[in-house]
Amino acid sequence: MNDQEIAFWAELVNKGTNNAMNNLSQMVGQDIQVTSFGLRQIPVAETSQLMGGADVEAIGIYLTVSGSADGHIMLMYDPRMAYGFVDLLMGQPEGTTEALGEMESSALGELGNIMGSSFLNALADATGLTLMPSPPHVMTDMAGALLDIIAADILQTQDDAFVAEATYQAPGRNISGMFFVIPTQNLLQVLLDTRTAA
Amino acid sequence: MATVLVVDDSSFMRMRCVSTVKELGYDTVEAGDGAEAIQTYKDQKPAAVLMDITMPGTDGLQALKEIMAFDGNARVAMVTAMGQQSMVMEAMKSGAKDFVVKPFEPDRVKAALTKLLA
Ligand SMILES: [Mg+2]
Repeated sequence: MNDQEIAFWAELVNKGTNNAMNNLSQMVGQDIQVTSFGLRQIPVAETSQLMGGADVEAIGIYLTVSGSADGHIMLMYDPRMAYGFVDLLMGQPEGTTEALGEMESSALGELGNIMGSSFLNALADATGLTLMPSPPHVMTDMAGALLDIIAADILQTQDDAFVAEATYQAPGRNISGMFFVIPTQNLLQVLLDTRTAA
Repeated sequence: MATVLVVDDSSFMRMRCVSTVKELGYDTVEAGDGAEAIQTYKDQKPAAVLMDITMPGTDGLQALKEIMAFDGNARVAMVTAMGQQSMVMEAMKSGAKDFVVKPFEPDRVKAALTKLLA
């Protein structure tokens, strides 16, 4: 990507992330703050380290993107942080949730659906594309194993991953999470093409 | 009392939606995907439908189209996180009477239902 393309991609990711965080704030009734935000180009093999280590236990909410082009969205949480978000969503005192039953998984899945859709809505409306999220999959596993789901798919067509990542927290409850968007090369190209098509 | 069909693949979101609908005094039936929504509509002929879009199998847009084909007077409002312009236009063109973007304020869903059932 050249400088203008990077700037355009950064602007889209910024819009998408803001929309996702605003809607998360509304959903959990907390003023969610983004504590770090970044765009990176890394070898696909290194994506398993994105959460800080491949062998830490994590809860992931995974969505695929389809429509004008394909991509991947993953929300990742330390399990205790995920339980904290479930407590907020279900209007429970902090520390109530200690495992994911059907209703807890459903609440986290819907959180992923709303954040992922919000992100995609901002990109789609800025570019005139249609970007549809799949239903969410809520999984508990090692962080590396969760991220390998994405790596396995994009490694078929490309060596590098363009990762957009945001870390955020709910200050009232001292809980945080990570939001990753990894477009395929094709999605990135389709998005960048709208810049000149207009 | 009128019955409202609440369609969403998330049981958490159905629970939220159902409690909002019940606050207005309506009865509810639920469906967890588009195919179930179509079948439940045909079996029970609810007075109104609140329809999610992103669901496994038959999605909410397909279900909307099939319900409208079965009953041209069906009263369906979309309640979805998929609020893209192209999606709103396709849903309205396909017969949806309203489009509520999640996360919603309960009052917004109540307003949609009041409009649907007027
Ligand atoms: Mg859904």
